[in-house]
Amino acid sequence: MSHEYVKGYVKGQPAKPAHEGHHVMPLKTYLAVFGALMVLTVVTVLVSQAGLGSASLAVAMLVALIKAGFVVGYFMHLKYDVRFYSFVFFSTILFVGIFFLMTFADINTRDAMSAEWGNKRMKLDAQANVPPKPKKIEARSSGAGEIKAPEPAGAK
Amino acid sequence: MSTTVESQSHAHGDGHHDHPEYLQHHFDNPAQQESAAKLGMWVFLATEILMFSGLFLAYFIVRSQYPEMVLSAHEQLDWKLGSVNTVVLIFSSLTMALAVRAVQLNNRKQASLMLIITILCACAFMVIKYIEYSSKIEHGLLPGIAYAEHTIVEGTHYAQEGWWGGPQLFFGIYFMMTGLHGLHVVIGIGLLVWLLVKNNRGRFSSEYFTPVENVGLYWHLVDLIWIFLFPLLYLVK
Repeated sequence: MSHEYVKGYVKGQPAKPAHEGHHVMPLKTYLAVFGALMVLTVVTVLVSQAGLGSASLAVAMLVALIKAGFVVGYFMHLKYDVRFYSFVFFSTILFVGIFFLMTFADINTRDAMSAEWGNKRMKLDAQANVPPKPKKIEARSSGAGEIKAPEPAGAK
Repeated sequence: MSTTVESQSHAHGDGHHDHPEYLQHHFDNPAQQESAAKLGMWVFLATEILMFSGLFLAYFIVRSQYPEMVLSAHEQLDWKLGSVNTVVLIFSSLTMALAVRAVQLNNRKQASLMLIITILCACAFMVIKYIEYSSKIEHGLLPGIAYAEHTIVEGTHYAQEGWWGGPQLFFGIYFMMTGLHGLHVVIGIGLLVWLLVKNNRGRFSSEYFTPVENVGLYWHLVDLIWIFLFPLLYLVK
C-alpha cells in the first residue's frame, strides 16, 4: 500500500513521498548508547562512594549531563532530526538556566544584605535569625535627620 | 461552493479518496503532518522540563540551606533499589527506541515485542517504587500530618521542635519529585498500551509512525528526568 501522496510543500520544498526522509539508526548505535549509559550509571554510583566531598555534586551532575546528552541525541533522535526541535529544546534549557541563576543570585546574596544589619547568617525559614532592627540607621536619622552614605576611604 | 466540494470529494471513510488513511484533512502531505506533530511534542516536552525544573530548584535551595540535613536524610533512601530502577528505566528507553526502529523498518512483530518489554519495564519500575514508598510511609516519612515527628494535642496538629529545616523538607521534595515522575511513568504505560493495540491492528508502517515516535520522545524524557533524580536524591554526598 504505497501512497505517493506528494501534494504541497514542506519547508519551502516540494513534498517528498512519506517513506523518504526518515533516518533509521543502525542497531549497533542503539546498543552502544545503552552500553555507555550503563557504564555511566556505574560511574555515578562509584563517584558518590568515592568521598570526593564538595566536588561530588559537580561530578555527579556532569555525569548526568553526559547521560542526558546520549539520551537526547540518540534515543530522542535530536542529533539527526530537524534542527528547529534542537532550538526548542536548547532554548528551554536556557530558560531553566535563567530560572536557576536568578533564584540563586537572590539566595546567595541574602547573607550580604543581612550582614549590613549586623546579622552573620540569615536562613530562609521562620525560626532562623530574623534580622534585628537596623540600629545604625536609626541613630543617624535621629541625629542628623538624614541618612548619610559612608565616606569613601581616603576622601579627606 | 464549499458544499459542492463537500459532496464531491470529502466523503471519507470509503478509501476512494487519493490520500492515505492516516493523513488528516488539514494537512497537504504526510511530511507536513509529521513535522507539525513532532514540533508540538517538543514544545510539550519543553513545558515538562520547565515544570520539573521548579522542583529541581526547590531541591537545590533546600540542599544549599540545609546541607547536613539533606546528607543525613537521604540515608533513609535505598540506593540499591534506586540503581535497579535506573537500569530498568534506561533499558526500557532502549527498547522504546528499538520499537520506533522496528516500525520504521515495517517489522510489526518486533515492534510489538519491544513495546511489551517497555511496558513490563515500566511496571517493574512502579513495583520497585511501591516497595520503596511503602517502607517510607511505614517509617512515618510522608510529609504533612502523617510525618512521625508530628504531635496532636486536643485535635490540633503541632510540628515538634526541629521541624524547620528538618528531614521533612527533604522527604517532601522526595515525594513530590518521584511522585510526579511516577505519575508520568503511569501515564506512559497507558500510552504504550495504546500504541501496542494500534500496532497490532496494523496502523503503523514505515510511512506513518508519528505516534510511536512521539510517545517514544515522552518516554525518553521520563528517563531523562530520572537520570537527574537518581544521583540527587539517592546518592547525595
